[in-house]
Amino acid sequence: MMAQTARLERQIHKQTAQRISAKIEAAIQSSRKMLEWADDWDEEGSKKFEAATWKRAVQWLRATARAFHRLQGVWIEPPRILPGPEGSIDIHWKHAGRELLVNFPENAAEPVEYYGRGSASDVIKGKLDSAQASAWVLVWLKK
Amino acid sequence: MKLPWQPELIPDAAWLYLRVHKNQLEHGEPIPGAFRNRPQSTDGMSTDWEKYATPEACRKRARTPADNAVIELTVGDVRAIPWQVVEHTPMYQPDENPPNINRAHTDVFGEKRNPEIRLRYLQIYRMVIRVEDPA
Repeated sequence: MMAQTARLERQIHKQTAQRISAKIEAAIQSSRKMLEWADDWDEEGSKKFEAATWKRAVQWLRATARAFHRLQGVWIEPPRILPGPEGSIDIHWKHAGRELLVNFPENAAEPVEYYGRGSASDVIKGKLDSAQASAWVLVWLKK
Repeated sequence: MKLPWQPELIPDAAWLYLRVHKNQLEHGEPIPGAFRNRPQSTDGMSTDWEKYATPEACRKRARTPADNAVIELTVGDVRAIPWQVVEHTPMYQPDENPPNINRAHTDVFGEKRNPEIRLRYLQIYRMVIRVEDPA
């Protein structure tokens, strides 16, 4: 009986861990359109976006949103997932006077950089590991 | 080919015009990715100096003017952003098809992928021609 309960708990935990806010998932799916753009999508010679760059960005977003949900018990608002420079992808949040921009370069070997600002003295910036959830940046955003 | 005009020093009080394509606008305003270096020219962000251009002329230089908004930036504000260098780079290539002649052309060199730089640009721009304005 106890083993059965533990198994059930593990199953529920796994399902919860894999769940994602419908709004965040909608933002992710909506951002797929940029993968259909060909080279020169801005008529100024910008290159097209690689699916691998987009996947890296949205995997980080899902993992980070879930980690934040586990910590805070609420889902973060969906960010904007946007075309960045040089084939990179931006994830951009604005919340109550704060904003956070995370940039995923096309080259996976280059660092993911982030910058967040509230007031002039309330700034965070640095580099992230895109393979790891980074809930703390969202904790800062919602502080 | 020799330039008929020499590059000039641009004062901090001057304005630059920057085209923003509709794919880099959301709800009519530029996204952070609108501030980027263009790969095909000299690896700068391509702008027009107001001394020799108007916002309308800047928009008309686009392949599809109606797909572009125009924003303006003051040179002093741009220079206050880390690593941004404003340089007058007039273009004179009359034999190209179409001819590329633009005395106003000004490059803003320097890193653009860094998120801090692009959020700083978002704080200093002013919209002058909206994408929905008639071309």
